This record gives sequence, C-alpha cells and structure tokens, in this order.
Amino acid sequence: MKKLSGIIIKLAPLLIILNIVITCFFAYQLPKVKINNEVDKFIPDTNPMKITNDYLKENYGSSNAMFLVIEAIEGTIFKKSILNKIAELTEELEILDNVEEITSLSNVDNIVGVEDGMEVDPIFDPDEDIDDDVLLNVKTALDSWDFYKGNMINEKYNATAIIIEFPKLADINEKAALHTDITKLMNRSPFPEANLYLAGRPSVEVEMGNYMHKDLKTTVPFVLVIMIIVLFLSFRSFSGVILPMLCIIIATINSIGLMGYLGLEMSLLGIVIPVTLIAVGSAYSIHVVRYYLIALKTGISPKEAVEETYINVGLSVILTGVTTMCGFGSLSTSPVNPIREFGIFVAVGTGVALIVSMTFIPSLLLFFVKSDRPEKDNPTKIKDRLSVIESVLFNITRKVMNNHRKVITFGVILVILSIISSTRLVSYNDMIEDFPKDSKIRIASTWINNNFTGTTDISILLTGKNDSIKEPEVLRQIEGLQNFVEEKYPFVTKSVSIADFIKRMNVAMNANNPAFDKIPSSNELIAQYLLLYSTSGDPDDFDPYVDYDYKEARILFMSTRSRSTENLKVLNGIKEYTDKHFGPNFKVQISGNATITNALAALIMKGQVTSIIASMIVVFLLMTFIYRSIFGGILSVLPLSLAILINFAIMPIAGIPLDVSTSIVGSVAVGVGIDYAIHYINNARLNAGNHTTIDELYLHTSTTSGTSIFYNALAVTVGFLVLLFSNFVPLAKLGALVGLTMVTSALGSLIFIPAILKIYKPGFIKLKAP
Amino acid sequence: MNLRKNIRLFIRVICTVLLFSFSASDIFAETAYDFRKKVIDRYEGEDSNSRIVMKLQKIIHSKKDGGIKVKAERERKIVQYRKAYGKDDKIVMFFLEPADVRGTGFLSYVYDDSEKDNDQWLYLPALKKIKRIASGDKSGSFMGSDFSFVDVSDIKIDEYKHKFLTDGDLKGLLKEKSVQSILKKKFGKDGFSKAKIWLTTGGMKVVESIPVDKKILKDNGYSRIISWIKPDNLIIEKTLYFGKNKRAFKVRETIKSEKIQGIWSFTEMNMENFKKKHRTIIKFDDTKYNLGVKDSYFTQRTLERGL
Repeated sequence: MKKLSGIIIKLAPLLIILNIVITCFFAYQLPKVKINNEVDKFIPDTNPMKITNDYLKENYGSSNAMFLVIEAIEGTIFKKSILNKIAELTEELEILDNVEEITSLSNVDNIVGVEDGMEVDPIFDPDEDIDDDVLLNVKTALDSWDFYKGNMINEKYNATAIIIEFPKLADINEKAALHTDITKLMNRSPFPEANLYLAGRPSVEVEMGNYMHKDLKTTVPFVLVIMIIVLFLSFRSFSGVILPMLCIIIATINSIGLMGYLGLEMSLLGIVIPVTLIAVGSAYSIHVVRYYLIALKTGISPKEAVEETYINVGLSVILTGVTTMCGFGSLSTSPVNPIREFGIFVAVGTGVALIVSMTFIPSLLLFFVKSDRPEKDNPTKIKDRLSVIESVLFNITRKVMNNHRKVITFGVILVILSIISSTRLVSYNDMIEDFPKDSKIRIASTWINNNFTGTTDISILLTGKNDSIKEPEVLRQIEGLQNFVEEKYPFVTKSVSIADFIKRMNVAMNANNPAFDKIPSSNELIAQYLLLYSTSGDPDDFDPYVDYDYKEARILFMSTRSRSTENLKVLNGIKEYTDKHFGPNFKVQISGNATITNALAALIMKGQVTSIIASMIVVFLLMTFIYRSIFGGILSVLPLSLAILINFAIMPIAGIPLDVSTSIVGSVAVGVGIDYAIHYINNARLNAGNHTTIDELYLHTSTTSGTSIFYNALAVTVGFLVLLFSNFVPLAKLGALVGLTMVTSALGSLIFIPAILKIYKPGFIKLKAP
Repeated sequence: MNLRKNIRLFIRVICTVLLFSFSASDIFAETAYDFRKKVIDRYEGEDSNSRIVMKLQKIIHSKKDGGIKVKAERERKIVQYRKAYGKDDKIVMFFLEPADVRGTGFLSYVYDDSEKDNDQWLYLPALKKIKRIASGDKSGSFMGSDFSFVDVSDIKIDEYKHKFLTDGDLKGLLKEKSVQSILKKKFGKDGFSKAKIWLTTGGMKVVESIPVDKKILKDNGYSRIISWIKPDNLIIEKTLYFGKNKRAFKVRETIKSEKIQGIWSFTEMNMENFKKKHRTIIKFDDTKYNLGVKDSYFTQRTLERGL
C-alpha cells in the first residue's frame, strides 16, 4: 500500500488529466444511449418462446397494435358528430409516417349477405351525409358479426376503437415517433363529445421510456442533492461531501458512456444504474477523504497524509470494491438481458468509482486540500452530536453483548419466519402497473382492458402440411379450441382465427342465414371461400391468420389481464387442449405477449437464484482466503444473507412481485451488505490487539466503524427513500426495498456479528493477552 | 442597296426561325394531356382472350444489391375473355388453378362512368350458386393482387391533371425521402448509380398525373402517378405511384411487351408494393385479339356452365 501511494503521489498531475480526459470521452458518448423498453428485447434470442414470437412477428405481423379509443361522454357512439370524428381521425392517421394500416368503422370492409349475393362496403361511408338511417345501419352492421364486439365496439356501444398497425418489423424509434404523432393529433383540437384514449403494448413501451427520461432529469438529481445534504450534516466537511459525489458522477458517466460507446440500449433498469452507483460507489471515496482529513489534523504534510490513508483504509476500500463488483458481476449470469447489462455496467461503474477513489481523489486532495479547514461549528457541539449516536450504538452493543444468546435466537426465528414468508414470493411482470394510477397510459390501458378485448395477446401457431389448414376437420378443431378457451377463461374475451372468416363467408353466401354460422364440410367450398375473400381484399388481408401455403394457422387470443401469472393458467389450458385434440401431424407453438412476459418471469426467478448464490459463493471464497478461515467467510456473508432473506420476506407481504426492477435488490444487498461486514470485521481485527476483553473490543468497534456504517447506511437509505416520490412505480418499489435492505444489512453487521463473535472466537481476531 | 436587302432578308429569316421555334413548343407541340389521352385511348382490339398466370409473392430485398428473395408465393392460373362495349368493358374470368378452386368464375361489367359502380358476379362451383358482389371500392385490390382496378384499366384522362417531366424534374424527385427509400430497397446500398439511371427519362416521355380533386384522390388512392411511356408504341414501361400520404409506395414495371396481331400488348408485368413487401407478377399467355367473342360469354349462364 505504501508503494502504491508513492506511485500515486508521483503521478498525481497525470492521473488528474487522465481521469478528466477519459471521463470527457465517455461523457461525449452519453447522447448515443438510447432507451428501449420493448419486452421482447429483455429475453435472449435463443429462448424458444422468443424464437416463436420473432417468427410470428416476421411472418404474421405484430399483434401489438395501438388502439385509439373514442368514448362517447353521453349515450352511444351512434351520433353524427362522433362518426364524423372517426372518419376524420382515420384519414389523418392514414397519412402519418410509420403507419401500415388503419382499421376503423369508416374503412373496415363489412361483408353482408343479401338475397342474390353479397355486398362489401365500409360500415359507413364517410362521404355520405349521416342521418338516422345511416346510424341505424351502423348498429345493424356491428351486430351482424361477433368479430366486431370488443374489437371495434364495446358491449355498451359507447366506445369504438381505431386500430393502428405499423410495419411488421418497426423498431422502438418508429413506434415512439408514431405514438408522439398520434398524441399530437388527439390533443390538437378539443372534442367535448368524447374521451380519446391511446393504449396498446407499443404505447406502453414508449411511455415507459418517457417516464424514465423524466425521472432521469428529476428524481435522480434529487437523490444526489438529498445525499449531499445528509453527508454534509454527518461530516460537516465540504470536501468530504463534494469529492465522493464527484466520484459517483464520474463513475456514472463512464459506465453509461460505455453503454453508448458499445451501442447498447438502456432498459428501465438503466435508469437505476446511477442510483445504484450512488448507493454502492460513494463509500470508497468517503473513506479515503475522511481518513485523509483525519490524518491532516495530526499536522502531517499532504503527502504523508495520503500515505497514511493508503496504509489504513487502502485494503478495506479495495476489498469492499472488489466484493461489490463480484456481487453485481454475478448478475452477468442472468439470462434476462436488462438484468445482465445492469449487473455488468454497475460492476464497471463500481470499478471506476474504486479506481477514481484510489487515484483521482487522492491526487485532488494532494493539490487542493492542503490543510484541514477549521470547522465553523462549535467543536463541542459536533462532539455532542456524534456522541449521541456513538452512545446509542454503545448501548445497543452492550445490550447485544449481554444478551447475545437471545439475539442469536431472535436471529434464527427471524430467518425461519423470513423463509416461510419468502415462499409466497411471486414473479410476474405487469408493465401497466409500473405506471402511476393517475397516469394517462394506465387509465387508457385499464379502460381498454375493461371495455375491449384487452391488450395482451396469446398466439397459437399450428403447423401441419401444405393445405391442411383448409381441411374442415382442422378448422373445426381450431373453432373448438377457441370456444374452449373463451368458456373456461372469461377474461379471455376474444379470439380470432381463419375459422371465423370461413364461417363469416358461409353466412354471407347463404343470405345471412345464421344456420350457416359453421365450418362447411366441403374442402373445395372452403378453398373457394378463401379465394373469394382474398380476391375481395388486399393480398395481405389474411396474413395475420394463415400462411401462403395453408400449412400454418395462427389463432389469436386477447386477454384482459396483463399479469403473467393469470395468463399462465390460460397457456396451460391451451396446451392441455391441443395435446388432446391435435394429432401428431400438427406442431403447436404458443407465443405472444403473455408468453413472453411469462418466460421473462421464469427467467428472472431462475436468474435471481443463480446470481445470488454465485455472488455469495464468490464473496465467501474471497473472504475465506483473506481471513484464512472458513468461519471468517461465513461470518462475512451472514448479515447480507439475512438482509436478502428479509427482503424476499417483505416483498410478498407488501404485495411486491419479483420483476425486472425488484430482482436487482438482492445484488444491491450483496454489494453493500458485504461492505458493512468487511469494514466491521476488519476494524475489529485491526484493533483487537488493543483490547483485552471481547466486550471491550466490540464496544469500541461499534462506536468507531459502527458510526461510519451508520452514516453510510443513513445517507444511502435516505437517498433511496427519495425514490418513493418517483412517478415511475418500478423506481419507487426499488427505493423502498433498497432502503430496507440498507437498514437490515447495517443492523445485521452491528448486531449479529458481535453476538456471534461472542460465542465463537475465530483465530484471525487476536485479543491482547490480558 | 444590296447590303440593305441582305440585312432585311437576314432579319426576316431570323424572325421566321424564332417564330417557328416558339410555335413549336407552344402551339403545335402535343400537350401532356393529349399524349396521355392517346395512351389511354390506344386501340386494344374489339375483344381479346388470354391465359393469365398471377404470382403473388412475399419478398425481401437484399440490403446490399436489392436482389429479391421470395419468401412465400401463391400462383393462380386464370382464363380471361374481354370485350369492349363502347367505352365500357365486359370481362369474364375462370380460375384453372389451384385445383380446389377450379371453375370459380368472375363476371364483371366495368363502366367508364365513374359515378356508376361496376357490376360483378361470382360463381363458386362448390356452392353451385351465382352471387352478385357489390363493392364501391375502386382503389381496392384486383383479384387480391397488388394491382388495383385502376391500375389494370388505366386512369380516366379527365380525373387527372397531366404534365411532362424532364430529366431535371426527375432528378429533383431523388430528393424526396419516400422515393429515396424505394430506390434504396430496389437497388440496395451498392446500386445507387443504377437507381440514378432508373430515375431518368431514358428516351421515354414521362408524364406526371395529379388528381383534380379530393374525391378522385380518395377513390383511386393516389396523390400522384408518374408514368414512363415509350413514344413510339405508347406502352407504359414503368409507373411510380404515390399514396394518399404523398409518399411513393408502389412501382409497376413492364417486363415484356410484344406486338400481337398488330397491337402492342403487355405480356408480362409486375407491381411491387414496397410498404407491404409484396409483389405481383402477371403474365399474359396466348393473347389473341378480335376473335369475335360472343356476347353470350358475358352472361350469368356462361358463368354457371363454364366456357
């Protein structure tokens, strides 16, 4: 450490310049970072669900349309003004960029069977004058086919949807541009007779990005300010506050800048990177600056002070830095892309914070903080204030030491209760719940889910031989599957398949006789209906439901539930049915939003377990090696294990699911919790030689190292609790859980470590011979 | 004296030349309207018969050179008879392939009067019934292809304003984003020089047609149509279509045309919709003109009984 400090002192000017240059380079990369919250992107390309989903998207188009809903304030939508508005919006939407197709009452092809044939016309002609007759015809047309119910009109007839589809492989930027354009169109002129809603998965994904942007600008800086205030109140030293903050900012710029440089996209977890770096990255420079200032007070030169700092805290800082990197680095094993990227870039940021704390910060101190400024406050007052906390910690520790068996018993009970509670932990993702209750997108989505077919799709891809989809038997099985699902799961309100179109043609070609609302039994007739339908429309009219060779059919179900757990039941039901009814000649694949979010939930759960276990093992091995004691390793991971368990126990009680954002709390606990334990144990080890009894040693450790831990935990907890004010629910959840975890890991170190050490006395902590 | 006379003669010559050149472009020259009208009114026989092979393809272009990969294809074979009744047309078509739709027939009366909806009847052999299909939509697809009814029967001359485009005008088109995007897809990254050549007159007359009012725009679905026409045989070699949103999205190209019984005929053409990544290739085989096709061919009886 002494050698290292010598190098730092020699190279100080160079280090300052180098840090500034590198940081400037990555700051320049920051604007390249793009936000992308497409759930599809969260899942690895090799996942079978993802493969099916991508295949469907490429060949059948995305089921993820946007919905612009027009809800009449009074009565039904059968009003001249509203129909005119539909026609006007349809025309305006059609000419927007990135629009593939607009379907509304004013342009959808309605097939009506008449005595001598059939008529294909829109439900109403926007150019015609709308009178009562027209209004009546619109209603009759909508009643004539179940297909419209829930798709274009709701049960109460007081709302209609315009379906906005974009090109098959549109990226998030195109969707975002379209979302913005449509929002502008909706707000351009007031329309007092109806409410307009815009929702659908693409809008949700785009809005999520918007919320993140807003939060990056408001909440994150707010967290920094709060932490600065807390740190300042704690340390009453200007440089003791500014330099750690500078360190965090540099770490954030470098790690996020690196994302930009590598051309990576940022998910909703990306926004958490700076916040997490605040939590884990501030400690290193705090320790360095504090020690330097203390050393300066003894009257030595800045150079000597840097040397002293290195010798005393250098190892602890490097050790805590490396273990934290391990904690987050373990997330790189996660199969979920945003979680993996989060882990890697927080690990990088932590590394940067560590290096900056050990090079840039000491160099700055050397040049700019040559003598400790006399404190303005009355020194005795500070002393009093400090002693309050010290005495509290002192008293707590004394009680712990006197009742250590009770403490350990309490700990064991806590662990058991936590394990019981944590078995109720569920993993699901509900993107709509990520928005505040009063947000437009959440209101719109909930409203659409309640009134229309829902915005979450389940797609079944049925693959047979060429032309097998045209067989009556197969079409009847498809119809059977649709009926089965709709009956058994009432929240699946809609299903569409090629069978629906065949039945529709059969009715229309038989003078609208409802007795023909069934699949005809002649192969040729089905083929001819399909030809007729396809010749009366665009070549891609059937694209969403059947392929060109009639080898594959896609059956689309729409669920009004956005939670993955509920849709899982449907998926299992579908699987059961298809296993029973479709023979070995058919391959059945299930995909869609619902399956993607399910796959995501499963991957998160799996990734969570492996990454936490992996990081604990790495940290355990490292600490075992450092202390040359297995017990030392176990002791180090004990407080953080407790913190993680409590976190998982509280989550089901508070009704918080394990999702993309909350799944990182475990790693924050590992990264931060281990630091507290290391500081505590290291401090006890270094000071053991000065004390003769165990009680004396830990009373001392709790009042010195314990105070540092207390302040660190306080600053970070307060900082994270600020996130509770965030408009963005994932961030608020994260704030609460990380805040809790900081408290539990700090308490774990301060209470359980001394209690255990009173019973078991390891070799690496050697007391002074009495 | 002699000199004065010579000067006077010289001036007279100059004036005549100037006068002639003015009138050449102003008075005697054919307007774009007249030229386009000539193309529309081109004689195509009293009646005709052909076999049509229609290929509907989902395609992707290679990003490098624009080369086409067909992802999925549907092929239909149709036999068609057409007969002119003044400015109106009667057409009867029967599907030959695929086998399960063989015998399915369409009978259409296409009226020149744009106020009048076309009449269409359909016969499904499996249903053994004739059904009338009423549809007012003219911008709609022709037989489920990328061609619309307008594309197949050409535009009506008075529904559009017409203008000749020069090479300079065409160069200006290259600045339009949608045109750029189409050419980039069609010729790929490396094909910019080919794209630039494609967008020149190339010895043809190029006419830009813009709908006269909103109704026409809505009915036909095009805000602008640019046609490359061979001046000698009046065959439209290629056409660039702009949608309601003013953006180019479809390209029609004549692959093959030949003179049959003295009438220039398309024998193969294709239409690509760049927005939908879809293409239709239509081949006309064995086209024959002036066969004296009987009026009875264009009746519901024939539809039911077959040809």
